[in-house]
Amino acid sequence: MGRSPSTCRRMSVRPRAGSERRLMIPSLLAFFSPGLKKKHAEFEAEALPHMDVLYNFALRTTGNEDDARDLLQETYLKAYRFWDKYEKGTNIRAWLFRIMKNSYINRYRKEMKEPDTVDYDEIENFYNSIRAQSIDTNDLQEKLYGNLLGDEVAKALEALPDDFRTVVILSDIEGLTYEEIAEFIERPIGTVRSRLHRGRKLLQRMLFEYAKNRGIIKTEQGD
Amino acid sequence: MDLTCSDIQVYLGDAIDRTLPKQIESAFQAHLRGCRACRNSYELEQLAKYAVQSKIRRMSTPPQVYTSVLSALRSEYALSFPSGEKWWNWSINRRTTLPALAGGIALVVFALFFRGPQNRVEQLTAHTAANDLINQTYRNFLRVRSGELKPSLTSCFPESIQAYFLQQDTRFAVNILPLPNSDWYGAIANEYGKVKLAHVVYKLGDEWLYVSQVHESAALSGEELSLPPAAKEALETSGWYTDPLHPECSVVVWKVNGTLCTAVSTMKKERLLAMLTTQ
Repeated sequence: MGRSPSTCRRMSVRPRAGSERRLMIPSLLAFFSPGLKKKHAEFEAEALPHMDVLYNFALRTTGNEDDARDLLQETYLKAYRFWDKYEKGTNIRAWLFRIMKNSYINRYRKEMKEPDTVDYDEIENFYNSIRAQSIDTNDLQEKLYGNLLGDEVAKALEALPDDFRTVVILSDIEGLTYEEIAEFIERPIGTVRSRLHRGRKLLQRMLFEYAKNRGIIKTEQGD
Repeated sequence: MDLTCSDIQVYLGDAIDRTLPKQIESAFQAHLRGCRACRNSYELEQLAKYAVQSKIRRMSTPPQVYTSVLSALRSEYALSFPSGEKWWNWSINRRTTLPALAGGIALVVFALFFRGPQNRVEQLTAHTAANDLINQTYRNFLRVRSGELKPSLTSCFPESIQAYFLQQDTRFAVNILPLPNSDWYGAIANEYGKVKLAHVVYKLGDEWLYVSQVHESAALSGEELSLPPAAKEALETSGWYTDPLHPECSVVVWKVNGTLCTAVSTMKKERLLAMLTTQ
């Protein structure tokens, strides 16, 4: 996996040069610039309602609240700077998301590495053994991951490679359709399917390891 | 139709997310019944999805993060306005206008302040009823300050707040004070019984101002909401009422354009009144 976000350079959004002097009278300036005020109001009305989706994505991607806040802030500042480029009537949520994704990649450029080859035999063997004794899916879920903490699942999600994590978050947390996800990441639906499948498989492996290490499940190899 | 194990891998996600085409569904299920490896693969992937959905809580943006984003945007907005020199050149041509305007405002503040609702504190002022407008506004004010109640919309611009209330069809004029020192404005619309209410939050540095608004008739003659008799009398005669029962904050009620506004603020009463009367 890539470096942990917390070890990467912290983002800080700096004001542009010379802004301090000009910031002294923003309210009066605003009063005399109705066109710009309209633009700002329009931007806020369109973009701010999507803050929750973006914040959740930032939080699940960076893994900590400080970095999530910085990433969110940078996203909105960039969105405002490029507001003239936004095509009205198109999917603003997808547009904002792409800005956030690019900001994240630029700031936390991870050394991308192919995920480790996953050996599923152990999981399948264990699964076969508990499946025979289980009544239904809820029972299986409880036996496998019932005692895992939210933090552990969040860490497993965070440890996924970027491309896989993105589609898992958008699908399983945000509840977006494959079509919407394809629009968000600007890739064909086939790519969404494939990434989701691989992402969930990797996640299974990680959750299984967490559960094994915590003694929630015991395999024949024993812990 | 027969599906191979490779086909199953392709359709696995659709099956889990319930977007599998109808014509494939029965073939997919038939294959799973006869193939343990594919069935395991399907069920394990399904469990991974359930683990994410059941263990990871979707969060609302914390108020302090919302505020920091708005502050950053506000600084950014300032950069897009004309430069300071241009503005100064513009304003210097009006050097007589601005002092005159300031003097006029000061005069109005002075006049209105001293004809405000005084000597009424000894009248009946109690207001603990659950439907008491002052009581409700005060409680909401505390909840907003503590972060328990979050505005439905937050913006740096009063116009955005105004637009929000237009969408809510409040059926009375919602008054937004364009306070230049406000860091942000917040908006909430709700109904109490059948009465529509609009609430505007102003964050001015360390100070808070919460103003709830309702149609004048609903507050003064309706049955859903109530006000202390002293408040009704003061509003009838002067249009203003200052509440004496909350020494830790300032409470002012006034009528404007057929709307009754109730303000609760951390600001001192004199400052609050001066601010309200100049708007």
